[in-house]
Amino acid sequence: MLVVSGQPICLPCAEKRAGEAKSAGHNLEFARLIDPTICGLCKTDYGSSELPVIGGMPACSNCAKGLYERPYPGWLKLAMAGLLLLLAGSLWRGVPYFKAGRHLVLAERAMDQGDYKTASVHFDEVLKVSPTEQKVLLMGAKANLMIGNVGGAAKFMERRETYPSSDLFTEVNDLGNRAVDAYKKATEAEKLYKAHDEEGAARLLRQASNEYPQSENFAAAALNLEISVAFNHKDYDSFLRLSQALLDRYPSDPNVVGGVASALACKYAATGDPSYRKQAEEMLEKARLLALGSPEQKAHFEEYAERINYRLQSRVIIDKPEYDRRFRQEAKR
Amino acid sequence: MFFIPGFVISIATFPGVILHETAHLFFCKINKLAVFDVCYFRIGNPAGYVVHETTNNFTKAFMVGMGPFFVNSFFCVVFCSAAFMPAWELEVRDPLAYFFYWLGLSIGMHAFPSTQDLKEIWRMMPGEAKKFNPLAIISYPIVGIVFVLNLARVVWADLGYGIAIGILAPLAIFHSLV
Repeated sequence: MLVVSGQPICLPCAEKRAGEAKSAGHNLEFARLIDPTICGLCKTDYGSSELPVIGGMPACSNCAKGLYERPYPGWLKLAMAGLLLLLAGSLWRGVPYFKAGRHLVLAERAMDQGDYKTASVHFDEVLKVSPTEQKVLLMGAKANLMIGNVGGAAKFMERRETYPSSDLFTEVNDLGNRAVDAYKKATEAEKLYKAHDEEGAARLLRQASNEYPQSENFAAAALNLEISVAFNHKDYDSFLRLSQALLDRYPSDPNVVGGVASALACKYAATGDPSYRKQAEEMLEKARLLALGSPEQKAHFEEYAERINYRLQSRVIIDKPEYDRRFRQEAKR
Repeated sequence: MFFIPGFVISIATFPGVILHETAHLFFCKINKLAVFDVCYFRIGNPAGYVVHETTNNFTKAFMVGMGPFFVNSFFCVVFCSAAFMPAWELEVRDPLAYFFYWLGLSIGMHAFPSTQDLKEIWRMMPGEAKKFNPLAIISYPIVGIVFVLNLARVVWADLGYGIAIGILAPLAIFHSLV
């Protein structure tokens, strides 16, 4: 039963009157006739007892309890438990990615500061999760190229087959091409060195170093060869200057410090200026102290210190093969 | 702008619908409001619903109406957080990460309360604000924005919201933590 304008009306009559009203251009508002003594849910008649109305509907206490304590269905509980487990699993599984992400952020910050060495260390950690994102790979490659690690850069570049063009790609590609070209020159230099053409090898290595100045190895190798050439040409001024340039790069390398001592000893032998001798002895002592940390370094120091001391005492400049021929062959016998 | 029928979107993103209705039910239960009917998911419009007792208590109405918005948003951010690093930042070819992204975005897409839920809050808000109810005052901009976004569903505002909180929020959280 329904009610309209305070009058009860059955459903068929209500539908008829609603249709008539609609044709006349107005709406009638019907409401359900509610008996407050009959539960709207279980339809139980409670006689003269009026039931509390919940949401416009009389409800007995049994049904009301169901309305307020509607249970979650079993499948939903299972799904929610599954969802939470999935969530925990996904977060646990994401730990390596979070770590990689952290390294990525730190690498980007280091790149912004121009600290490519630190950046490359962080990018190596990012590489562990096999990323394929172009910017990440290009930045990782750039960081490695900027510290002269072409092999490290290749590991990043190999992660993708194609790279859509971008400013970063152009930059990394140019840098990579220069590095590859420099490596080709270095390989040629090695061949010349093996053929005892030290001058040619030094020239090619210097070109390689100029082309790819980010490579510490090329610069150091070029300097070492130039030092050797200067010694062979008895150009002791260049020998000293180049040795000091190498020392600027590797101030705590005992061999490099020993090299400066050797150059100073040559200058003393050639000029007789005692200030060179004093400086050579100071550098030799510095090299000795630096070599104490490693047995190999110590043995190496003892070998060249003997020759430098001979040079300082005799003012005779001879190379290692000649020294060995004169003094060490005897000792071996 | 391309048109995809609503039921297709609902099917594709059904976890979000179920979580939305579950959140409605949860907030009805904790606010002691009678629940007459619940549909967690169906192929139709609406894709899910909870028929519950109305209330004149603004806090309860707010919690029931806006609760799913916060719950779905939270789960969207958490699931996407687990997936955004491999799927978005690193582009790791990991199917599970893409699954989590789908789950997170599905949940985020259904964060918006229905117009009916908002109307209840909207109806009570001016009166409550006049009584200096802090929640009503704070709710004004939130409900206003959500109301507009809800209307903008026709231009994929719900997907936009899911993507925004599923990508930007984890990104912002991550960068602020490192």
